[in-house]
Amino acid sequence: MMQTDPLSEAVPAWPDLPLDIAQPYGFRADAKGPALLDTLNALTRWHIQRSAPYANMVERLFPAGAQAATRAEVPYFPVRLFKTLELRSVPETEVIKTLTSSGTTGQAVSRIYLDRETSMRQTRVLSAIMASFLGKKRWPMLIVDSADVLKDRRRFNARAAGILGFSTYGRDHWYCLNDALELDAQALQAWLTRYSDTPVLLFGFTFVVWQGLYQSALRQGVQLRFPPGSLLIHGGGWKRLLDQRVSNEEFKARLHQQFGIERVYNYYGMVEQVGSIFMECEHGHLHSPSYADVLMRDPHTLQPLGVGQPGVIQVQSAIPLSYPGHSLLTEDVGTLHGQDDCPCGRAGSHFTVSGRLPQVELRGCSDTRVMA
Amino acid sequence: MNSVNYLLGVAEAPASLTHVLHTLRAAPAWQPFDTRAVEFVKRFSQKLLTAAGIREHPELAALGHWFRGANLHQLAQKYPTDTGDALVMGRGLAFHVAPSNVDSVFMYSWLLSLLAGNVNVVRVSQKASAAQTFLISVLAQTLAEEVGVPVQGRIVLLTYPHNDAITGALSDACQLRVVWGGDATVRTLRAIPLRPTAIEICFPDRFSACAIEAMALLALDEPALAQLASRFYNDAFWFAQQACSSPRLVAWVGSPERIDAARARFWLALEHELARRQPEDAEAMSMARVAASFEYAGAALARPDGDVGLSPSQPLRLTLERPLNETAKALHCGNGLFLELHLPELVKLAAQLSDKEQTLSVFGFTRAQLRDLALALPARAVDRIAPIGEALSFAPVWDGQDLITVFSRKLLLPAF
Repeated sequence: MMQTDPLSEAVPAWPDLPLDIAQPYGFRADAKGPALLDTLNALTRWHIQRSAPYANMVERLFPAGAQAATRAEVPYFPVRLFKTLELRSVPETEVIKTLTSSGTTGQAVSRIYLDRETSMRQTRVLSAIMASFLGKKRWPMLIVDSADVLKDRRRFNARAAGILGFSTYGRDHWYCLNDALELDAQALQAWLTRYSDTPVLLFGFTFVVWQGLYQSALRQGVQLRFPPGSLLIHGGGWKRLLDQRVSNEEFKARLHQQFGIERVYNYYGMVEQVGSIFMECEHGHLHSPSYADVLMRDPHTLQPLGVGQPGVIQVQSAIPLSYPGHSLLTEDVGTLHGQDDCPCGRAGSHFTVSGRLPQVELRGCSDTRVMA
Repeated sequence: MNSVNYLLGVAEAPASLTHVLHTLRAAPAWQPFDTRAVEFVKRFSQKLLTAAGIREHPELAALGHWFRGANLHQLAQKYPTDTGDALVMGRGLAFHVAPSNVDSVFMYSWLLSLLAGNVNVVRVSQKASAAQTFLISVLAQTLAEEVGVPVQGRIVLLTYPHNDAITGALSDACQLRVVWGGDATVRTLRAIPLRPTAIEICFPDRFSACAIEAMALLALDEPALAQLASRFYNDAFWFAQQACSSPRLVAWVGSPERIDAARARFWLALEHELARRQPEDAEAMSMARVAASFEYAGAALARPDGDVGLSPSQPLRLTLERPLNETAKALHCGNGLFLELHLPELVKLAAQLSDKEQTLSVFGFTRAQLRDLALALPARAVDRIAPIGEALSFAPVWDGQDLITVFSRKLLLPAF
């Protein structure tokens, strides 16, 4: 699996992406399993050599190291460590972008370091996944956000990174919210008149779509119809919608009712593993592409769980080279529903996400909330 | 200033803070252990211990027990109010800032302030808890009784959202400010000016440890070992190991062979105790101690024994790979995680401690050995050495300060 270049010592031999990249859902467990495991083991070796904190963790906590016999044995660590440790597998000079995310645990910020190659791998993988849903052509694209989110280009937050990543799959981009995240209905109407018969691609973060597009249109009394065949892709988590008791089903129904959007696809992804996202299918299940997979673990024993048992989601991806993020324990809870057997016909594991693990309660005198 | 919500002690609702503070400041300071204050606290303790629902709050039962009449009378003996050359009196208005979650230790401090002769205004968390509601109702009932009449106007419980103007007004009115909370809260409060004649006592984040002499542990028979494990359980698993005095580090003292044997015996006995007592272990608690373990491993600070990887259940044990430092202390989140350390002799622990350390609970050492350790400590390190099982027990000397003494003042009055 190692790409070697005997002519130049300067080019490092990084582990390649497994299998045919153009077929994200084309490989069943017998082919995908061994190929992904080999890549993950090669990535463990790669990062042990390049990141001292990562090597420290593997050496102390994972006896199998880079010789994992199953995906469950591949070393991993909790995502919150990106907030406290500098986890970088390339020299600082090769970092072209640093992604940040605040998450939910306090004020500390995760820092994800990207070099050219990792960034390219993210794009290649995301393109292959998008192509399988959108085809090869580029759609007129409506971004449900404010153009202001993109202002600081050196230090991307998760939203800006998501928007830029997905923008590649559309053309004639239009940001339909103002800087207060309210719908600019007139401008949107004007943009839509150009595409009365062409389906458009909508992209946005779940809660921004709900508040900035749906609720804002409702408040303003705006009646809008998107062209038939238009498709919405949204992600970023359900926490704020669950707080308002809005389920995935209701989200879809309301968008259909208000705007006539028939195809609504959620995705599960995170700033720590950009690119290898888990897309929702027509049956409401999230799907692992051939370059990534999930594993549910018991929060008390950390043992892997089987189909139907909810647990903490571990995500594995063949992409990350510039930071040791190929196998991460998230703070999300999900349930595996099966392997290669979703009625939608896509190969690979499929699952659903039910929410976040509750955070620990602070007690005694060790309270750190300032006069909360 | 109308965002202040009075929970106890101020009758009409839209009272202005200025007016409330004016009234509180006008109340005279009493001498320590004034009968009126003692009778009130005694009655409060009785009512607390017999209140319906007290069984759900064992830490409040311990509070009630501590303030029982017999203990108050014994305590009063230690604080004469006229020493022949001075009179002892309360300082006046005391402003107490409680941590977010009601902590019984904090309750001890403001009740002692009442006993010291002060008038008290207590800012509690915006987030009401079952324990807080329970305490306030028992306090209100006690105030409504005859014994409460003289104390009315000497206790006000209030809450308000983070607001420097309100904290500033309270700080400008008081003679004593008592701050319980994290280091960040203490820093925030310190930046708000205090009345020039006032004093301040802070109880910031602390770290506590435990030390065990290996040979002494090996000498225990099974029942005595089980008893020690049970006492250690009380220290470490109440408050999910998050009290300032909960032990987070276990220092083993002795030869390597003895330490190995003693550790094996001790942790097995603790496992039996855990199986028997079934402490709370929410998913979030488990994930918090797992994440902390990865942080220790990533920073090469600590590692699990042997080569089987991490076993996440509590007690999750990691052996320190280098001397205890500030990072190692800051990473610790409680929740059933124990750092271990091996030492040939107890006095060697001194160099690894700092002003962060509060309680050292111990087993198997002579007083002379403990004294040698104490005299070798860095400045301000360790406020208290206690037997295992008493780490959480309250004492009127807390964080190195005699609370009745610092909550009161001496008015010099020579014999004429």
